[in-house]
Amino acid sequence: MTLRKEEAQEALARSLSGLQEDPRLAQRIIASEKGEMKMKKLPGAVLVLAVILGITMATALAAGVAGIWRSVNWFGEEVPNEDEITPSSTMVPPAETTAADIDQLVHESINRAEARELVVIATENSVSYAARVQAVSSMEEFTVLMEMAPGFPLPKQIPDGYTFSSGSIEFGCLSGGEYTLTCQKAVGDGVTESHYAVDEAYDCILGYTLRFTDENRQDSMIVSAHMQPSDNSNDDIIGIADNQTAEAIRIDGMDNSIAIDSDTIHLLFMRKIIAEPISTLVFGSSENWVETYGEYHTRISSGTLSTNDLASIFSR
Amino acid sequence: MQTVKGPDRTPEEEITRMVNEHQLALLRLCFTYLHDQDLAQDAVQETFLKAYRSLQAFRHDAHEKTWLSRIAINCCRDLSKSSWFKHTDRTVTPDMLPEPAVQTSQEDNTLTVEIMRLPKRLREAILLYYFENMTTPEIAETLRITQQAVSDRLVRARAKLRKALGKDFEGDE
Repeated sequence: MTLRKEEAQEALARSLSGLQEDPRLAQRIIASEKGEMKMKKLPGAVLVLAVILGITMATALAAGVAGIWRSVNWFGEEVPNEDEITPSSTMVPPAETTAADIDQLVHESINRAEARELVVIATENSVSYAARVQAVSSMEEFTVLMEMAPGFPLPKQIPDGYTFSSGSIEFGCLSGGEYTLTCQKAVGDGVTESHYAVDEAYDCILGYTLRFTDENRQDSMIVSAHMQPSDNSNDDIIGIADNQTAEAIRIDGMDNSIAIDSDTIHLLFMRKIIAEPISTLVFGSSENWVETYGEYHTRISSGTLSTNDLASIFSR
Repeated sequence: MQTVKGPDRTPEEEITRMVNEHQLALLRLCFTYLHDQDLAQDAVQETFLKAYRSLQAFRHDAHEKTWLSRIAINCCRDLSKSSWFKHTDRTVTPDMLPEPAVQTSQEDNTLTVEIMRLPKRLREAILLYYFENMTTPEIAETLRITQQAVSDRLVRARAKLRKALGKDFEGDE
């Protein structure tokens, strides 16, 4: 049976008929531009509770600061600019919150969480959660933990002068496992905090982030790797800033690698196909779902080390 | 026959007209993109603000709906890049849909939910094609991609929807 375009349009329109226009929107916009009124943010949109442990900043650093973006694929070829990212959105702005105390609640709950616990913060309008993360205090501890994920690309050697600074490993739950509620409490006005555990037999590693510093040159090198869904049509291009160059290079053990350079930052993006995709159970507030991962994506960034130096970190 | 040009509108009249004509369609587009009514309203507000600021620069060489849709899509993309958005549960279920104002069927809601579940790029193409009733060249202009890329995305999106719904979707690109 074929659904005609008009039928699909009508079905969508009926289904979303409950969305209401704002009758005063035009007035507010005009008044705002005249400086007569401050544009309001609607309550639900400013209930911001999520916490990401270092990965967003690493991503933002890797992405470069300011500048209009271009896009390259895994072969280093420039592709039509499908993601119009304006300078205002290259750096993720600090999240706005309705109240500083809610933000504080989130941080406190994360600090109280046991390693690998999933912490979920829920309000009336949204649900946010922190990843199941375990901090590592040394490369030795990191290496031991990563033995449970033998396929994950790992740094083979660390450049001279750089020392381990901090690290974390993000855990998921293998398909077949489950998230068990271990604790739930009210932590504020209409805010609930819930903790979930996973049987360690179903623990799997989704990704990691490592930071190394060279105090002499005041540089940080950040290495992060993460599994990516098999059917990930959103992530097959890499954004580069206008002042950056991109080149496809070959690194042993990787399927694709892109070196990105500018005067201020050097980046390496690598992709490795997972021979046997890994299925995990992803936590959802109303319903968990299965995600299948088919690739590892790894990023290394440094302000000082060249992309050749960065490549040698992962070379055999 | 001689074409008579109508009286020029002030910017205030122009933006008011645009809001009256396009607000609902953009609200539905943004909701289906962002899965959240409040965020969708934010995105629509931001869209018209940007449009108002750029009225002088809008040379009307693009269709007005195409222009507004492009701004709206970019606003949605900006919002969806925030760390809060990424770490807020976005599981799409029928109970996320707003209470309908007219009679709907389970089929209507299932279609909407499955469109909302599509990967972002496929969702954009499908929404502009079905919701905004744009042609392939208009979608290409809105998303600033090639027409071939639009066709590819529509084909992939329809394949996913066919698998989820057991129905083929008509296409004329």
